[in-house]
Amino acid sequence: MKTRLSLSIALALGLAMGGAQADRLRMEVLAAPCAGCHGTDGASAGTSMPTIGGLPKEYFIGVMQKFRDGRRVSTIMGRIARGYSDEEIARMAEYFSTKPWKPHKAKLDPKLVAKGKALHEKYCANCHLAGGRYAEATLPRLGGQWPDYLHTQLVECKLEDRPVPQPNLMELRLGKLSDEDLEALAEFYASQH
Amino acid sequence: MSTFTRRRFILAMGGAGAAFGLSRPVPAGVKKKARVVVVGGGYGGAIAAKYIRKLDPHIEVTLIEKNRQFVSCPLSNEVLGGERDIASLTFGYEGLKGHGVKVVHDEVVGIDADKHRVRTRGGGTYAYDRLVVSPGIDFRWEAIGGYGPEVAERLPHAWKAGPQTLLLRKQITALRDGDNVLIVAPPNPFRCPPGPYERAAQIAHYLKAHKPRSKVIILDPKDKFSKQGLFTAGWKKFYGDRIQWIGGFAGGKVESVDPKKMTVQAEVETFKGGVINVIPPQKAGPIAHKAGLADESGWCPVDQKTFESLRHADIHVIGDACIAGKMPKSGYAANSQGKVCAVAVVAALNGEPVPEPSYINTCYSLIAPSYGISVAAVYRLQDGRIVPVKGAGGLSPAEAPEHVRRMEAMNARSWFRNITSDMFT
Repeated sequence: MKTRLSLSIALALGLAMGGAQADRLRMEVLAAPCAGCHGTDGASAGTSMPTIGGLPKEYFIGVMQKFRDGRRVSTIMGRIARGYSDEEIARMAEYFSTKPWKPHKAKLDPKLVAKGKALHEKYCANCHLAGGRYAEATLPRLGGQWPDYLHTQLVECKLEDRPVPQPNLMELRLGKLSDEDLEALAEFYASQH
Repeated sequence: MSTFTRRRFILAMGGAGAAFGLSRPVPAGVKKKARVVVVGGGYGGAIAAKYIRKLDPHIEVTLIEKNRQFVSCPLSNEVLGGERDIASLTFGYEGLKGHGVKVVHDEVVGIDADKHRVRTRGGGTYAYDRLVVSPGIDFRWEAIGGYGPEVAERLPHAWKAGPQTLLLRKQITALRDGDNVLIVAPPNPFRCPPGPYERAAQIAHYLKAHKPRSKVIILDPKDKFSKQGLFTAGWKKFYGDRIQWIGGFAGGKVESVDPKKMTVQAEVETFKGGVINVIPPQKAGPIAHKAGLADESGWCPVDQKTFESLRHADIHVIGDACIAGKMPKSGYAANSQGKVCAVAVVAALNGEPVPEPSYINTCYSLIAPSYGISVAAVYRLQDGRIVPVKGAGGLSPAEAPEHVRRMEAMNARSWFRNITSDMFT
């Protein structure tokens, strides 16, 4: 009896763990192809592609939904996002949220970083907490992101047809910043590993 | 055909112990270490090797690759245009060793599917439980009269990056202004469908600045080609009438070449070139044929869910060499297939179900240094065949502002950095 009991516990355990492994493979097969553009485990090695490993789940889901329905305009991400269901996007979000955030490897200009720091404190620090390292559902991680990517995104935020939808306060503040200011801000956030 | 079934593997691992999955430490001597051999360390093989280790460090993975360094075909057209150094396309295998992959530089000359082992030119024998073959392409040299491996030293194909790329670059820079560059494009299916047309643009980019009276003439057996509308518009915008495409309907199919006279005999006319780039018709890499993995089409039929060969059990074929439904023969496709295959191999070796696969392809082409275009798709398995998801993917828009094309050119280079870091770091 005792043997049978421990055997059934062992079997149940085995099934549960086997299930976890099967689930891991299911996540991997869905999310690993993203690495072709975003790097292994979402840690980007390229200047214009953002690191996505370590992003909060809710943020990832929100952005993918915006890409998918066209609220956020992109060169290519929308075309790819439309290939996935809500459930799959949720699984990918889960996968990337468990990966460590690995900062970029670009070389920064200390002068621009200093200028960016001042601008950040004046205009941005109220929402983008901890030097942009803090992220949540509607707040992207900026600290340690690739500076070229940050700069392009900030410039795009200012375009008339605004490919990246922004909250009202962000729009108002962006209106006060020049392209040079945005470059400095990008350098500052990149410096905030 | 298979001698090493899932059931036997579970028995070999010690019965119930196998049901616990990978994460549980197994006492020494109980679990037999599963062995995977990967043949070919390119866009497919390097990824399969790394991801099998990443998913299950208990599996012993040996990668057998002939060359000590890998030179990427994607972006090698930029070397022809003078925008890139070939060193930036060259990678070593140290990073893979860091993942615990045993890297052997040798050439596989035989696969014994029954005995589950491969033989190398250097005299080595490697036993496997699962074999992943990622052999790339070989040329059908006989398809074009007068062409062959020796003639390729005079009329380069440059369709495997390395010395051939540098040879073609050298010939283009030595071209007499006013002489033309001929590109002989291959029939479908072939490695990198947009490649010949990006190449035309990159060569024209160089000619425009250095040999303004020279042209690029593409002789093509096909009536249409990848991203045709985007290429045609981009060519015209940057290079005017410097690029001429002659499709199959206009007599573009090449029958033979004459390396002495530097001429190409097409169906209707004879063309003379100062430089002749012949991209021959293609088939799966040599080892695929030797091992009986290819069918009469010249390519390897596989179960498109796992990439296991339909001809030999426990052997998987990925990358350009395999028949992968609607996926093109591209670097990104090989990367994506390498991962689906890695998951299938790990699942099989652990007695787990193989999850429903998902695949991506993205191909960038650079028409000018700051002008990029792309095609993308997400794929699923449907009735055993890889098909694109409807409503997703597609081409860059036909009309787009400059900054969008510039962004795509930046993305092309970032893509390259990421996909190669995925392979080699």
